[in-house]
Amino acid sequence: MKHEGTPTTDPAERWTELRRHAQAVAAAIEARHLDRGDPGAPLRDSLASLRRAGIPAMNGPVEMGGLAATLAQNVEILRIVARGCGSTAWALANHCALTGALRANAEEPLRSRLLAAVRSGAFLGMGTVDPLALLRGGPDVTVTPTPGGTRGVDIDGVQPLVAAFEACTHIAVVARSRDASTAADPLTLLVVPRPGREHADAAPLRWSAMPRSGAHIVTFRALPASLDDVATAGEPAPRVLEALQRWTYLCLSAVFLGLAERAYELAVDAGRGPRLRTMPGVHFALGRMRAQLASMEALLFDACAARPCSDDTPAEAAAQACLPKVYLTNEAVRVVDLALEVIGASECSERSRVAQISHDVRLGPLLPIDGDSARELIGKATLGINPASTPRWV
Amino acid sequence: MASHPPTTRREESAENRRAQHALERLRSILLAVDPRLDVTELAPHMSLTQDLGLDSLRLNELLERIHRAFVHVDLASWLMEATRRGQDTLAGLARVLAGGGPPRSDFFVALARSHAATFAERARACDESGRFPHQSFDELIASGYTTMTVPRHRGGGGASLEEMCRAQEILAGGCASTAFAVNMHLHALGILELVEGSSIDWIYDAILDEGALIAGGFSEPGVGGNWWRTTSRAIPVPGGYRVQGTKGFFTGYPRSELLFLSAAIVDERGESEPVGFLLPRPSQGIRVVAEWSASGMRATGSHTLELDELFIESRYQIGGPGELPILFMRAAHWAWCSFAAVFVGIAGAALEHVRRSQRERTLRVVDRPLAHLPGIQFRVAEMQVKLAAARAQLYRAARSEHRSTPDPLQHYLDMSLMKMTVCRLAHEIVTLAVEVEGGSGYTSASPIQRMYRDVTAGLLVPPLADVTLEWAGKQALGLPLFSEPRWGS
Repeated sequence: MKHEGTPTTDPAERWTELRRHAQAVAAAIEARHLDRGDPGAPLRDSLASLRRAGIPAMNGPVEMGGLAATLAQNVEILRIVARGCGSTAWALANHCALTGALRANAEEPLRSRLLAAVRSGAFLGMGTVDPLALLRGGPDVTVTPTPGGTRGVDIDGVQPLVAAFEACTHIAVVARSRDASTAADPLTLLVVPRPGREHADAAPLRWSAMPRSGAHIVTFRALPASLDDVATAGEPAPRVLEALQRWTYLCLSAVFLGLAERAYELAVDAGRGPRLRTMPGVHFALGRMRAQLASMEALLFDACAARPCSDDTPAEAAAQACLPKVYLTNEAVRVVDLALEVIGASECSERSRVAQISHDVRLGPLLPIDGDSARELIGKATLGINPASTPRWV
Repeated sequence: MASHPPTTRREESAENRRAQHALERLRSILLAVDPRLDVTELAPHMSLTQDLGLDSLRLNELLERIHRAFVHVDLASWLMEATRRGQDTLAGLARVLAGGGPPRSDFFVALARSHAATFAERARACDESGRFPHQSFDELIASGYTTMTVPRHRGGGGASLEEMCRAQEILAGGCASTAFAVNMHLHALGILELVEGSSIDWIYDAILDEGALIAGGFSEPGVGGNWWRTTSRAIPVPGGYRVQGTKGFFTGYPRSELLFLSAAIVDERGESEPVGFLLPRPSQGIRVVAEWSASGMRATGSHTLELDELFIESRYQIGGPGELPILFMRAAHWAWCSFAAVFVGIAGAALEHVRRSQRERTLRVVDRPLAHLPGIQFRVAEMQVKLAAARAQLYRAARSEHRSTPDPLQHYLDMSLMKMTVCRLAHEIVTLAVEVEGGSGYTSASPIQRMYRDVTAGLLVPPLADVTLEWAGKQALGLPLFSEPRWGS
């Protein structure tokens, strides 16, 4: 029998507890932001709430106090958090993707160091990575051996859309190695301590979507990194990056599912009003939202359960990874638009929750991989065309 | 995973039938592997290695061909063991293929694959003529496909809902009309699974021993798909009922030996109580008043029937008066998942068609195959995304636990929402295929135009979208679904 105050060790109970905490945190964050009416409220408060609930550490091994959460569990937590705040959920999604994908795939000594840091409260961030750009010779970030023969590399380049940049303790960087000693340009994934102004310029993005996300465009200038900061490089890198892409897109998709679900709840609340409850347009809209949410949920969790095929080419793997993101982010916009129709103009003031959701959800299709790139990648994979081939079209 | 040996004569009969079909297929495959073989030499007791002299190369080829055309069984293990024991006979292999050996969870899926390839060659002719595909149904019966959803303990295939859906998806990719028509039979058996008692054993006997097929008719002209408000009347008479009414969309009627239909018994209060009947096709009291003629699913034989003084014995009643709606709602997953699978099959076939065609097709004004055009790639991508979403939602529903559903109406609504969404996605996919194919896809020679007409039927299988959405919206608001007036009060 568990004594009062003693944390449970039963995984099922811990999972139930974690979900409950996530729901409580989401509700508290939503209430705080509505009270303040200030879209620029700091992300740190929200992340602190998540830390107290043990959520950022959930992907750690059980022996290190984590839950070894599955991808599906990560997705579930993210959709819950997103109902409270899209910005917080987006930041958390990147952290979850990194900790989830790297806990089994990162090389030592980084892996152990990372898990220990997360257990102590580290929060990871990364810029958006376009898989099509990777296949066509990207990204725009490079690593070169540090001059002088020291055991390190210098990172240069631009990393777009790093959510929660100033709240992160560590940043993951996907870079292309430009080692003069090799003819190849292999991809490298590093996780480095968040750089200061000496080696990075961080320009904040101020927009109506995800206003509390703390997103920045980060430009690295000869940022020194140790070879011990390398998560993967060379031959294993593509498969590790595939795993990271898969985690990233599904975690991101969960955020937009959560936003859409919250919009539906708000629409139902509005629809219960005496003026609306017997109107056919309201019934049809709510029914359509239910149907769309069900399809989104089915695809997301189906993708979580799917086993990546080892025979897939990198392009096929990337296409499979981003497919759910394409569907969910676009459907989320349609669901939220239906919610707005139900709720009506008089209830959609700029400070209302649904107004913020409406701003946030529109970012989904624009976050890499964007719509056109995704269609090119998925279309070419389906048609058996190498996305790296030239000419790109006709 | 070892299968259970047949425990009843009925089970044994069904298994023998499947084994015979497998033996015939196996002979064809062997002749393809080694044309020097004489078909008259391919007796069931012949050993593959000792009598037919197949060496390791030919055995490998044999296994590959069987794997492509048949079930996913561990043939390599079977062959090794059977050869060691001197029991590598055609009959033994046929039994393994027919389900007598290890894993057969995909048996009907593989069977559907082999049928679909043949049916695809006839699909155009069936569509253009509107004639019911009797030959295809002969083959479905001969192969045991139509026993798929007869419970295993009754001697049938005992396929799960998921396997049935996967099989039907594949079959529909070959010929949508055939798949839709046989779906009436297959899903009706799923519904009957919920009927307790031995009063329906004769149905299974007819299907297993005589190849009987069920055709279904709950739809009626003038009720707008509200099948539980049947206008057909069942008047109690000694020994049974006298039924009067009209049934529309009676899919599969041309080939049916068994009819599953609904009528209402009017009780002493004047209340209509819907009831189901499943009876042998009678020689009197039922006639075709309008043959099926539609823009799509043209070969399904979905005739309009008049029931005129049709006498139905009491023993053919399914459930008690008023129980039919609840029975159907509880079994809605069999109906809506399998029908949705047919339309997903059409959509998948459309995607596969454009994937092949655009890789080959060229125009004088473009220096590469059309697959290299961005507009083609973007549309193909959208098709792929929608197909993934449709399949995910369909198979999530098919795999769910349905037996313990506490609320039949909720279950019916959930399945109806799934069907509505999946069929809408299927329609969007085929519409994109039409755009991809362009003008050539619009001609009668192209299967795309037939797929477009066939997939549209998915938007029309009741309950229609407006009804489904109305219920879903009202339920979300905690409103009663069937109150009058329906809106605006």
